[in-house]
Amino acid sequence: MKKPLIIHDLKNERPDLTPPLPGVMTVLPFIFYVTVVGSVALGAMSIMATKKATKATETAVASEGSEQAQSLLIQSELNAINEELSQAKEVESWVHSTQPLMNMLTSIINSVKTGNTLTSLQLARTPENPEHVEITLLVNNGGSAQVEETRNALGKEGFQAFREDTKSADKSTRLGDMTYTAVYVNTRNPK
Amino acid sequence: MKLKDIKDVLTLRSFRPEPDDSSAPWRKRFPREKTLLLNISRRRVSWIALDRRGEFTDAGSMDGELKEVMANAGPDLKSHTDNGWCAVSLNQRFVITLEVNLSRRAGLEQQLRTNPKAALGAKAERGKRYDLVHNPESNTSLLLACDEDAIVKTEAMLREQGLQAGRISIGIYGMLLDLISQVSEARAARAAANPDEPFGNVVMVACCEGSVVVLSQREETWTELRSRSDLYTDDMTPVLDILMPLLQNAGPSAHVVFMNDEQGSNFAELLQARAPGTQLSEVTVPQQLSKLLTDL
Repeated sequence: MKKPLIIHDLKNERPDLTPPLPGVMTVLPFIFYVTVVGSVALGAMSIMATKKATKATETAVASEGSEQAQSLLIQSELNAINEELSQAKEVESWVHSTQPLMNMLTSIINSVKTGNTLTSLQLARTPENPEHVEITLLVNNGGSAQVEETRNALGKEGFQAFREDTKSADKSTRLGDMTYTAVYVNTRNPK
Repeated sequence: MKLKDIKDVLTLRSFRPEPDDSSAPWRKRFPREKTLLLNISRRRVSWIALDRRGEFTDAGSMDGELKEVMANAGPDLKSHTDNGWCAVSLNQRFVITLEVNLSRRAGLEQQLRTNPKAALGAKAERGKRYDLVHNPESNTSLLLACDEDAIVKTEAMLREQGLQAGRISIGIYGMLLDLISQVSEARAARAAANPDEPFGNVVMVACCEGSVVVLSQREETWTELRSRSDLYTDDMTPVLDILMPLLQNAGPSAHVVFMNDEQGSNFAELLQARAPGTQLSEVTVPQQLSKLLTDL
């Protein structure tokens, strides 16, 4: 391609005339503009992120209060439930402890032989050891034979005796009156 | 470093030549900027604007001296520019001469601008500004001398109207240099194609709004030159009066190469009437002078 002819110039040349900067240096203003735009974008993103974080913090603080109130409510409900549970456990243990008495009573009554009579029968238990059943049996007629019958009947039902004692006014205990005391424990269902 | 320097770097202005940097092409100095081209003759001023897309628009002219034209049409001319910059072609108060054995030392052209006396010796006159072109193949040179007073006054009158001269040149001298360049290229092409065939004699004719320069070239050597300003108006017959002696000296086989400031002249018909059979090549392009002034 033909190089264009640059026509002569007769005007006075300005002494402080400077040549243009090299074209490769045009990258500098572009870097500057990219930096400015990047800074503005980054600043805007930072402001938006800060606003978002502040809003999230406010929301979290607000929800923390309601969560704490909820937690207190749940805690009080839990305490009430625990209290009910402990009461229920007490009732349960009482129910379980009273369950063997019927079997025991039935066994004792069924063990009385024909012609033998009982003056009284006491069954007692303490709150400290509800599984221990204290028996006081007054045999009017039947003596030690009847006591033996009763012990065997209770043993078949799974009751184990300890601290047994028999008292009798008559020397012949075989058929006379007798007082039998013992503490029984249910070994089959030890609740 | 001044604040303006930083601003110029950021607006990329520093990467373009300064508006009055004569070593840079016009469109590189004023990219996407409206500028004005003025052709100033003794009794007439013509103008055309170069718009932001690089197209010529709003051509006009007014009879009268520059001072009168500026007083009447100055604001209108200013409105054809973005920042008041204009390129000026002076068509008066210049002399083009053919010189022999001028010094060709390095830096002479630059010295000619700052210290003509040191560059030209006794040939230099006070109050003149010069431009010089050497013929690379012979010891001849073209020397342009222009009145410094005309340049200074023109700059001052433009400044009064808010216009700034980005370039002040002699349009017809620029056209002659363009002609020389084209002839030189044609000669080089001919020498490459037919090394043994002589190029012959060439007579170059440049016309610009009443001014004429005729340069005769015999093979590679410039032999004769005639230059006149304000020679003609519309009728180009006086141009032939100047041309004919040089054409006769060049011989019947001489080739005339003609350039006018604008297309559409009747030079070819006049030449054929005066010297039938003369080979003529007209190399004028549309807006010839404007394109030269803007390095297009």
